[in-house]
This record gives sequence, structure tokens and C-alpha cells, in this order.
Amino acid sequence: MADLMTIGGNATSSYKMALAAVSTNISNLNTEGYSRQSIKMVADGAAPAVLVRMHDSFAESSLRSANSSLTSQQPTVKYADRVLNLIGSEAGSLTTALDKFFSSASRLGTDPSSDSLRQEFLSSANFLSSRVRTVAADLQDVVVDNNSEVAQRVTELNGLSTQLSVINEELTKYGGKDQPPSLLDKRDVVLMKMSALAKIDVAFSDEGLAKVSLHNPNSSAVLVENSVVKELSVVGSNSPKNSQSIVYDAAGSNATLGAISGGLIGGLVAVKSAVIEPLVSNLNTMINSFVSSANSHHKAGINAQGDVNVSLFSVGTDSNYAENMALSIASSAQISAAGRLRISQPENNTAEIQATLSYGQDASWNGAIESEFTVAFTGATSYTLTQNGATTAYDNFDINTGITLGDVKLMFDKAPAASDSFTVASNASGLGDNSNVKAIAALHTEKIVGDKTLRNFYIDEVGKIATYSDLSSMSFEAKQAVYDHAFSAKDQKSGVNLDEEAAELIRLQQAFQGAAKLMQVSAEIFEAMLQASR
Amino acid sequence: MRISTNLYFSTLNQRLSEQQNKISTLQTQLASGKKAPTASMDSEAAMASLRMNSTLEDQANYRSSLQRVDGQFRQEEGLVSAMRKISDRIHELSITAANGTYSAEDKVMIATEVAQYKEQLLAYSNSKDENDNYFFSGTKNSTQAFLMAPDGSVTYQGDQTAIFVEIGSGEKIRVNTIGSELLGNVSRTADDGSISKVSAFTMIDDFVTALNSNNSTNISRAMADAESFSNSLSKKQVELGLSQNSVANRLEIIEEKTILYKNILSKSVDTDYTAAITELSTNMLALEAAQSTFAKVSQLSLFDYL
Repeated sequence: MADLMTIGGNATSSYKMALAAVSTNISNLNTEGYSRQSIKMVADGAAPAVLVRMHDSFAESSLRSANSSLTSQQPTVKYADRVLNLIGSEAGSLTTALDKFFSSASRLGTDPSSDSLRQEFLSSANFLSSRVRTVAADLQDVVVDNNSEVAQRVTELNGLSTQLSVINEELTKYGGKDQPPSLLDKRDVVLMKMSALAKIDVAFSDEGLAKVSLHNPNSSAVLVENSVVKELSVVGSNSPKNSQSIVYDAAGSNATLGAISGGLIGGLVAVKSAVIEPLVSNLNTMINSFVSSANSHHKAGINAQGDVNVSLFSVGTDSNYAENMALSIASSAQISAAGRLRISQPENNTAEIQATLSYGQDASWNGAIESEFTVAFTGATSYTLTQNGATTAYDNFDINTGITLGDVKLMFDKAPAASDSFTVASNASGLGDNSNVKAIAALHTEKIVGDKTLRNFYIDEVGKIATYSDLSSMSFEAKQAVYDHAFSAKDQKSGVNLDEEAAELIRLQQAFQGAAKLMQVSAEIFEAMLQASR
Repeated sequence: MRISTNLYFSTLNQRLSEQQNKISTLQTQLASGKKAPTASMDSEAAMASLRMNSTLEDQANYRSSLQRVDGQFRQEEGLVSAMRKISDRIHELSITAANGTYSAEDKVMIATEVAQYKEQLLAYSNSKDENDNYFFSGTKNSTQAFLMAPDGSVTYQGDQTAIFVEIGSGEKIRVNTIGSELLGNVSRTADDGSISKVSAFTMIDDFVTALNSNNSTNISRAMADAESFSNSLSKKQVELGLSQNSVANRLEIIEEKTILYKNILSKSVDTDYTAAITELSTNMLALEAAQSTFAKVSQLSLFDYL
């Protein structure tokens, strides 16, 4: 058994160490990633105490995983909300501009020759195309912001990889023994920061060196091993516009990574491919369908200058239709509100028959006004058709199918009788005709995008983003709760509590005083023995 | 369970900022009067607002179309009534002239008056609307409807295209009156019983000729002509009246729908003030409680007793 003096000496130095640990704990209260230190006393007090880093590697690993999940939701919520506010708010929504356009088209239908209504139609068509362009450009801004944020986060991740490789190198010096706690803390902080950028898999060697690779589906992409770093980089392309991909180890294996799971980078990539890119593509589809329908009607009509085959909008030749959408006509006289042909009948036709014309029977219409032709009935089902001086007789008239000649179809509300005739000729001065602008106004309720009307297609797109945004917010809250739990699990072991340290301080101070007293007593005993033996 | 000092403070902080977030959202909703001033604040309200506003825009559009069409009907009706007066007067004069007591000179006097009505009728049938377009020339409305040649013959220059306007989902109404239908449809019965159609201008010309030549057969024919003309005009008046009625009915329906839709829109989009204010005071109370406990609890430290 050791003598009193040795025990007292060991104890005082142990308590001194413990007091030093308490003061380190207190002074590192606000140090990022600091793990509480504690002193482990040896049973019989004869050996010196051991410094312990209070740390739970399982808690640390589950916190990293929770961190990746949580941070991946941040850009999801941020971008989904931004896109939703862009296209779904009352002021920003395209429905307002579409409604305005169709309203002005149907108002123009009530009085097609009114110049004020023609101006209104022209300006609402112009407003619509400029709104579409603005929304498309705003969405491209979102894409560009997303891209540059990805690039920035990738650079950060590379920087952290380099830091970790340096720490790994430091750690090799200790060979797994007596590693300084602050170095281990630093390693864990870097790993935590990496997990905030992307979900990573970490493996530790016996020496405490961390090997980091991306989590599935890119688990073969090793970012850091010992002191070797393999960097990620971004590569841009313009089809579709402003697309970007992440490449692993450009200098070596040069593999293009598909989806990145978790972390800010994973979240940024996910929200782009799940929300922004489909929206941009669907908006282009919608605008292309709308413009081709509106143009096919507008081309079939005749404008106030007597021209046919005039487009109303243009969408460019690349596939960025929404961004390129522009009004093709410059003046209200170029609005083709009227049908290109007019029908007239002599006053001596027997009954008041309403004959109507429609177009679009022949897709290969040559874009010119048809030559005048006359339909003259010779019986209930027989008629002659005279065009360019040539007369052909038919005997198969059916009131339900009417008469079709090339691109033109002629329908009657009542069956014509023998000797009734109808002449169809150019409608060059038919400014008062509303048949064509009515066809354009009717697109409002026609299912021209897939099986949906324009308005419903657009609102459904907004709905998709709204659902995504709601779900992201809910998921964010859930992941926050998981993260909070994982954080407190880690903190329970590693965190510093000031009250606890204060209590320790008092306890250790008293213990130290006790040990010191022990040495004093030992000295007095020794003195007394000397006195006795004298 | 151990809890570190930092976690303790950051948890308190997080709760405080959650409360402040809730209060800030409520304040925005109260100040703007909308549940979702930005779409992401309440995506359900934002979607409802998009749908309802579109529906309301449709109704506003139908209303403005109807009002325009109604104006057109009123003006046309005024013109047709004026024509009817002329037609009735000609009928009256034809009865007078058919009376055996009138001399050939008297009939020439009547002819002078009748000839003037041709000019008036021509003026009415060439009336223009506020946009300087002819009422009765079909869709060729920048072309004068009826043109009188130097020899006095009148021809219709418009077309026969009818214009229909949609006044409700799917419901269409015809808005223009074709000049040739209005003035070219006087039916004349010949001695052999066959019916032909003449224009009102021809009818007047024939009457004037008959009066000047004191042709009693043709004077009585003019009597029948004028009666037929009056009948066709009064038929048109009834038509226009009915059209105005259906426009008025439609407008009433639209007003009702608009009120209904606005109500629905308001319920889903506008802030419910009572609920929002109640929620605001609850949250403010919670925030105050959190703040005061934070202030008190954070001062507790064992170091104060050392």
C-alpha cells in the first residue's frame, strides 16, 4: 500500500487536472463542436487520473444523418415558395393576363369594327405575351440562382474535403494514442458541415482517420481517403436551357453524378428536377399549344387590310416558347376578326336561310383567299357548284354535313329549296364580321393543352407547386423534430452545463483541499515520528 | 437527462422565434386583409383566388358584352319604330288615295308627300352607330347599306352575314339586323295569287307612279304592300323587344352569380378578422409568457452563489 504522501500527491495532481478540465469546459462553452472533458479517477488513487473526451460516436453519426435530411429540405421549401409566389399570386398569375386576353376577344366579338375594342384586343394580346415572357424570364432567374447556389455549395464541399484531409494527416502522427481532443472535435465539425451539404458515409480507421464517400446512389464516389481528396465540379449545358450536372473527380474518373441524396446540394438538385424544370417545360408546352391554336384561327381570318394567313403571336424556333413569345402584329388593322369569306344570297331566295361558313377542313390550305363560288340548288338534295367558270353538279346534299370545298365548309340552318343560291366570295371589307375573333375567344373554354383548358392547365401547374410547397414545409418540420432529437442525444453526452460545472468546481475544490490536508497530515505524522524517535 | 447550457438557451430562443413568426404572419394577414398576400402563405387560399377571379372575370365580360348588345338593340329598335311610322303613314295615305272622292290632282299632291318618305326611309336605313358603322349593312358595315342611283333605283350594298354573340356559357344571341331582310321583304300578291318580294323603296316608287298616273289598281296594291311592310316591321320590333328582355334576364342572372362568387371568394381569400384577432391575442399572451420566463430563468446560475 502506498504511503499517505504518495496518495495525497497523486490526488492533488488528479484534482488539479480535473479542475483544469472544468475550467476548459467553462471557457469552451461557446466553442463550435466542443466535446465536454472529464477526468477518470483510478480506483486506488495511486495512479494519475485519465482525461476523457465525452463523446458518443453513434449519436454523432445519427446527428450527421439527421442534418443531411434537414438541410436538404431548406432549398426545397425556399425554391418551391419562390416559384409559387412567382406564378401563383394574384398579381403574378398568368390567369389574369389570359382572362384579360379572352375577355377582350369576346368583347371585340360584340362589335368587331369598333376601333377602341380592336385597340383593347391588341393591347391585351401584347400584355399577355409580355406577361408570359416575364414569367418565363423570372423562372430562368430561379434556375440560374439554383445553379449558382449548387456551384457554390460544391466549392464549399471541396474546401471541407481538403480541411478533412489535413486533419487526417495530423491524426496519423498520433498513431491512435493520446489524440488531442480538440483535433477530434475539429474533425467532427468538418464532417458535420460536409453532411449539411450532402449525405455522406463516414468510416473511421483505428487511428481516427475519416474516409468520406457520398451516400447512395453515388456511394462509389470517395471524397476523402487519408490525405487524398477527389473533388466535385459542375458542368453546364444549354439543352434544356441552363441545365447543369455535377461531375465527380473531373481529373480522374470524370463520372457524371445523377441525383445527389440529402444535404443542401441534394435539396437544390431535387427541387430543380422535381419542380422548376417540369414547370418550365410545361409552361413551354402550354404556350406552344395556345399560340398554335390562336394562330391557326387568326390565319384563317381576314384583317382590316384585306390580308389572310397572318399570325397573331410568334414563339421562336428553339423550344423556349414562353421566353420567346411575342405579338406578331403591330396595328389594330392587322387583327383578323372577320372570316376570310362572306356568304350572300339573292333577295328572291325562298325562305330566310342562315348560312354559315367555317374553316380548317383542310390542313394543307394554301393561305390564299379562295376564288368566288356559287352553290345553286336544283332540288332538295341536288345542287350545282360553280367556281372559276366551271360548274359541277352534285346530288348528295345533306343538311347535317353541309357542303365542303377545300378548306371551307358551308352549313345551313334550314334546308334550301330548288332555285335558292348562295355565293361565297372574299370578305375583304367585312369589318363587321366577328366569326373569326369568336373562334379565338372560344379557345378560352376549349381543351387545347392535352385534355385541359389553358386556364385549368395553368391552375393545375400552380396546384402541383402548392402541394409540393405544403408537403416540403410539413416535411421540414418533421425533419427539424428528428434533428432536434438527435442533437439533444449528442448534447446529452457532449454538451457543457454551467451549473453542473459550478457544482463540480465546488466539489473538486473541496476534494483538492482534502488531498492537500492529507499531505499536511502526512508531513505532521512524519514530524511527530521524528520527534518520538529523537 | 443532462441538458447543456447552450441547448437550453437555443431551445428557448427557437420557441420565442416560432411565436414571433406566428404573430408576424397574423399581422400581415390582418394588415393586408388577405389570408395569402403571397401565395406560399396559404396555398389553398391562393388557388381559390385564382379560380374564383377567373370565374368573376368571365361574368364581368358577359356583363359588358350584354350591355353593349343591349345598346345596339335599343338603337335598332328606335330606327325600326321610326320606319314603322313612315310605313303606317304610307298605308294611311294609300287608304286615303284609294277613296274615290280624291281627284287626280289630289293624288299628285299625295305622291309628293310619299316621295319624301323614300328619302327619309333611306336616311334611316343608312344610320350609323357611335363607331361610325352602318347599322343595316351586315358585316360590311363600313359600306353604306342602301345606295340610290341617279335614276332613283335603290340597291342594297351590304351582306347577309348575321352576327351572333355569346351571352352566357353556350347561349348565343343574334345582334345585327340585315338591311335586305328588313327593307327587302315586302311581299306583294299578284292578281294570279303568286307572291313576290319587293323592296320598300320599290314599293314607294310604285305607289308614287300609281298616284301620278291615277292607276287605282296599283294604288290598292300599294295599300296591301304598305300593310305587309308595317307587319314585317312590327314583327322586327317584337323580336328586338324579346332580345332586350332576354338580355335583361341574363344580366340579372349574372348579377346574382357575381354576388355569389364574390361571397365565396371572400370566404376563402379574405382574412377572417375575428378568428385572426383572437389567434393574435392568444399568441401574444404566449409570447409574453415565454419572454418573461426566459428573462427570469436565464438569470438563474449557480455561479451567483459562489
